[in-house]
Amino acid sequence: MLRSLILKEWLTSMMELRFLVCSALCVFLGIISVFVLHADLATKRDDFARDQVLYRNQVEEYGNYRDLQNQGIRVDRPPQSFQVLFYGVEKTLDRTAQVSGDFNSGFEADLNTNPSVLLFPVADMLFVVAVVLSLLAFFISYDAVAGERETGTLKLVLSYALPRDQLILAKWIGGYLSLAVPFVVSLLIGALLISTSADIPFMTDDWQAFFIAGAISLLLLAVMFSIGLLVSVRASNSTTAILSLLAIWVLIALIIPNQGPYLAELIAPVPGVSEVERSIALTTKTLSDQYFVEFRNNRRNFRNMSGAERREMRRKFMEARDQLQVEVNTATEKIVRNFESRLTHQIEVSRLLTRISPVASYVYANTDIGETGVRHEERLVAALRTYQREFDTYVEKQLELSGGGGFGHWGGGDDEDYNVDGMPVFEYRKELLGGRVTARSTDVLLMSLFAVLFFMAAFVSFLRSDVT
Amino acid sequence: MLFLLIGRELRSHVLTYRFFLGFVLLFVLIVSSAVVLGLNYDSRLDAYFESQIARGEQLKEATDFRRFQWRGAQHEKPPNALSVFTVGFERELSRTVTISQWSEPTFGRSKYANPLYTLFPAPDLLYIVNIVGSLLAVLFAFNTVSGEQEDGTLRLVMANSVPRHLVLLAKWAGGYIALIVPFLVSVLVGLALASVFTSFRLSGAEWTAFLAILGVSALYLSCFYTLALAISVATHRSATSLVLSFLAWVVLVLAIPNIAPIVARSLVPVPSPGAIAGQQEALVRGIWAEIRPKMRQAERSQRGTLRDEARHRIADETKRLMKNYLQKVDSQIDAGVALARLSPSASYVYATASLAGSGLEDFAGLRTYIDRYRVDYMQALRDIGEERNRQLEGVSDSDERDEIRNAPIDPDDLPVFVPDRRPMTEILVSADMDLLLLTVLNAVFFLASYVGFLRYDLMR
Repeated sequence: MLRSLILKEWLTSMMELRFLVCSALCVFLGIISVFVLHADLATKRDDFARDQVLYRNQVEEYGNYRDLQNQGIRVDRPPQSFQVLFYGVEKTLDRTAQVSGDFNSGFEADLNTNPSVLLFPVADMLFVVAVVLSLLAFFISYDAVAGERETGTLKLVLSYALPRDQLILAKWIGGYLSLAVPFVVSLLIGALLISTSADIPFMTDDWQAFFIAGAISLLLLAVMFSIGLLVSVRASNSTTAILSLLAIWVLIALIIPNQGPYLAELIAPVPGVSEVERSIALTTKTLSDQYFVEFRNNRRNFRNMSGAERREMRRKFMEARDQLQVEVNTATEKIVRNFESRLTHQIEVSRLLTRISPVASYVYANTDIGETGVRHEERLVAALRTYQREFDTYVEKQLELSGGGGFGHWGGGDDEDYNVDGMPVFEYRKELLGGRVTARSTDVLLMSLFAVLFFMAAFVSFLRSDVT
Repeated sequence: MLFLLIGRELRSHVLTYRFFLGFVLLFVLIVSSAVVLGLNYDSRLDAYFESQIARGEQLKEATDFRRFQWRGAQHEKPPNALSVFTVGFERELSRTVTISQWSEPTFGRSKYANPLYTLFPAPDLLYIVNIVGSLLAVLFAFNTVSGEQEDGTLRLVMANSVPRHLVLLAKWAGGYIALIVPFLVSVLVGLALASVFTSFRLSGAEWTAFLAILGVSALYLSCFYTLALAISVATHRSATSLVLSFLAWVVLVLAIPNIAPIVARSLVPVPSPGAIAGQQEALVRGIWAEIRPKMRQAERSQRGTLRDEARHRIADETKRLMKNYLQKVDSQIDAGVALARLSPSASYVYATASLAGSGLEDFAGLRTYIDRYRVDYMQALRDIGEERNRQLEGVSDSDERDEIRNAPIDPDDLPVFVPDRRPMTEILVSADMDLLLLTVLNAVFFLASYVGFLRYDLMR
């Protein structure tokens, strides 16, 4: 019986224009987004590979370790394969970091860039599911009960010996399938595009993440469909149902997630970025003032010194400068870490506030599973800092081996044995899939809870509803 | 007759659940957005004033003039009051810029430090009108003709001696008034609350820009209202017109503008900014590597000339490199804009962001302003340096010389970093294509509905 009812619902949906439109939109947008973002990823990967060689060549041109320490090496944000599906924080303009002897606070933006992408949300799979398909879920479910009540077919159907629980279950499954099947088709075409493209290096764990993300997308559609069904059961007619659902959609897909960071800033404020930059500048100035006062005082006696005394004085200054660098780095790190710990708290508040919307949970879950979310951003900056320490250790060691180095070009000229073959290379290691999924388990659980709750509410409402 | 018909249409809209819901939705969204973004503006304004005070103190405490020239100073523009309603590129434009004598200006960290700001778009008036407003416009118009045809009331109306064009015009005007009035009321309440509870204030030019933003929003909403009306005229069932209007809305609002900038990046590739910055550094290094041996061999008196020569060459070649690169960036931006303009939504976003002073032209304008400011800033520092050198003449005591050379800097001696707001005429010229497109689309959609309605078969 249940199977016949599901089949009837499924066939009814398929015969409608909206099914055709929804399916076409789903498949078209899914394919277009993967196709376009794949081209974008290919460009980014080419740029990344070319820049790596360029930066390395530049480092080789320095000719001495002191310049290497001062000017450092550029590091680009490594392109993430999952951006073809979930663009996430890859949208940022902060793409390059200068790794030198200074403490590194993260990637920096460039003035000379194309900012257009920031003006619009990127039409990736995340957007297609969170915004377009969640709305389509409402479009398919709004008249599932209200429409039949209006046309009188509900009364007719219930006049047979049909249990209401089976009918509502069939409506849910039949309607949900008419949304899920086109989505799965577009997902499979996306998978095909990814697997046949040499520009998207998907490994085994990426494929696992892909299918988990696909399952989470289906879970979001289930939540949205359940909400749609609940409203359809409760509404007096289908016009009221669709209008109420549109209002709900605007709130949970567009407003709550987007207002979250602003509200979190009011509830859990962090020091302004200018304030942090000022503190760093002030601390650096205070520390370096001490060094420069001593330098200036001793410089006056420089002319009266013998060669040996001059060398000794230069050695002392180099030592003092290295010590200053360490002190400045320690102080900067303290300020930045303090700021970042408060920022992490603000992000948590923001997540907490927005999780009343399943769309927000969906975005957090899938961007983190695809390594294009906030978690990835934090890990990337941590990896950059680890690299900065490795780089610094390497340069210090080379400076020691080459006799302490000079003042760079202005002092001692090139180091004869300057060779950067052994210089560490920045490598970002992906987090294991298990860790990513565990980190976002709260969001997945919340979505599951929402799906069950809304379905139960629709179920109970339908059992108690008055069809006459 | 026309007013009678408009009144009838208006009443039929106002009495519906759709009108109530649309009003409540617009009111809640616009008012809450104005208040939340107003409070955000408040905190940015406080931070800006604090940083200005701190900058003044920093200058007064500067104890090493040369190091100050070398290290540079941080500058930031005052927050844009109109960002309460249109954020646009404000997040990028409000970054700190470090300007120093010997290195290129650099962008600081974004003031919007929370990475969730990157993940979700700002819920400003621009976003609400662009997505929610256009969707409501579609909902208000999708069954204007097809719904009445289904109910049979259209045939009844047309049985009277009413010209079809008047009926259509009344339908358009009645529905549009029912849409635009709640919008304007919500904006006015949002504006009032933001003014009362936050530091949000508009100056004369900003008022003009704000009113122009409202005008463009009205034009944009009319565009989608007229499009849905045309679809309603082209169909005989409201369910069909709803589905088709929705399809058009998804493609025009959610698909085209969001895909276009990414497509343009692939169609018109440009080198990464990191690669260009690297080339710039290599260029500087190369020139110094060439000049440095000459300086070592030259007489002491000629070294200054060689140094100046190197600096001029660096400036010229950097300028050439950046000019070529920025031309490519501009071509990429233009390609993205041209593609996105297939949708009225993109035209609306470009025009509104420009009017608010946070559009694409303002981003490019900030670059130009920074270059100009840097020249003035360096000149001011050179003037201070020369003045101090004059004071040093005849002073032999080294402590006294140090005191003069490294005396605190009077903030008033340095130019103020306030990127100018573009004049309204210039903004309108840069946004003319978008305004024209919106107007033309309105006219085309209305004409399509007009012709369609004149030929509408009432007997089907």
